[in-house]
Amino acid sequence: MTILEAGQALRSRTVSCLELTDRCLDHIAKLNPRLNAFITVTAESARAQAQALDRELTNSQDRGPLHGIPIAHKDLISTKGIRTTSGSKLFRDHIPTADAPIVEKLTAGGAVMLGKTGLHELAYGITSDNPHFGTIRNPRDPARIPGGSSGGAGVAVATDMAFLATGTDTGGSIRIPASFCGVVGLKPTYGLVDRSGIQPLGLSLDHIGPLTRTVADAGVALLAMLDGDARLRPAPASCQYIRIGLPENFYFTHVSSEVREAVQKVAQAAERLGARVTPVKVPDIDALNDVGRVILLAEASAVYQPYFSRREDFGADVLALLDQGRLVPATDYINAQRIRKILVGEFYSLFSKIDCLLTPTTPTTAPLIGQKQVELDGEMMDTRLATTRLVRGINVLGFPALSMPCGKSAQGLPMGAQMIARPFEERLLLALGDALESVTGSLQSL
Amino acid sequence: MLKPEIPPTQLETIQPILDTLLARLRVQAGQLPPQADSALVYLLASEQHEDGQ
Repeated sequence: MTILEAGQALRSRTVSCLELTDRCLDHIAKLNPRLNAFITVTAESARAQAQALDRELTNSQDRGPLHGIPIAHKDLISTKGIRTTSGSKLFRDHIPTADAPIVEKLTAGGAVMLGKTGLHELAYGITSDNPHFGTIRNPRDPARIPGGSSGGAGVAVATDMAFLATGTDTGGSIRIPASFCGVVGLKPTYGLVDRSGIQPLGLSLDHIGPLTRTVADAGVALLAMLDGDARLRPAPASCQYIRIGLPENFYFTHVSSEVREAVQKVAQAAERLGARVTPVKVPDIDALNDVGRVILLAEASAVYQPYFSRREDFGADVLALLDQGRLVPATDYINAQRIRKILVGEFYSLFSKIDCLLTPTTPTTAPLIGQKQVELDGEMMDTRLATTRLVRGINVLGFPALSMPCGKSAQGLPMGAQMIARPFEERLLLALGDALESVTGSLQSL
Repeated sequence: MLKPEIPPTQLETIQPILDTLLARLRVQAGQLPPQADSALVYLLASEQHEDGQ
């Protein structure tokens, strides 16, 4: 069931907020011991909240499309009185005294909070194999990673534990779990969603957004996260007005043949919907990724400088990245920001000819837990760098990007297509994604 | 000297990775026009970009 379907059922009184909440809590009770999607479950307060929202509906008080919808927050988003660990030993006992604005907005919109989802330690990685709170497992194959850093969010949505989960994305952390778990993930334009009250990682790269089962639900969630939609540009009247660029360089090399074919089928589906699909040459994405890595190394280490004396409190992979960041000279960080501006300009030039860039989200399906390398086009690549290769650069640009399921591999694992647009063109991405979903069909929950 | 120090074994592992990354970045930086300013200026002035300027 989607958010929109649940909303209809609530308003036709065929289901209550409490029943929806109990269904999700049942899924959590059944699946979480194996998949470890949640760090904290707030069952009691969720049921009380749902009952209060049922009373409101009975009294014709309707808060909108999220009224009575059970959701989960990534556990680096501050929730008043509820432990917020950031997946880190540093914050194991941290209990915020206030909700983050995004929590306030979603609660005011009637969402029922089920609890806090697990993540890669400090959101600094893509496996969600967390040394402090346990390994989060992919629901399609528990021997595999769910992606990260918003791994628990992807699992929760894919398994009906929640209708919507909040995520953060600094180098792909919403889109990667969306791709590996077979759900929709939206990284909005940089700064569109308020990130105060959220543990930072890359100060100029961090984005906040939703993971949902369908593109339409992602649209509902995004609007609920905003202070109004004035900054968003209107959606095109139809797909016939959308110019899609299909990269002829970078994005389809070092990609598995199954993923390549699946995304090309999405392009064909878009053409059938009337969109104009044209091959385009994209700017230097390797340079964009290098810029993103240097900026993130430096910014993350700046954030965690006060904790460097507590080396034993970090997992090995996160500590290695933080140590690298300490060694980045200021000159390199500043030059990375200068190169960034030039590359942003080059992308604006590209987007004067197209409205949307269509690429794979991840070059492979979900790797195995503990897998250090993946083979792509006969070349062995570091799993983290391969997995972030197609998504990291978009955080450097700050452009919005949507990941949606585009099929399953021969092994039955989900694959994701990524659509990128100009800043504040989220409605275009959502309209195109929704139309494509109606043609290609969304991956159903387990 | 960084405080606390990074253990030598850690440095042995991470330094080559970082050196490779920074070497590539410096090639790009070597091609920057002298007047190129920082993207942080862009981020602060993002409203201008919203208007396509």
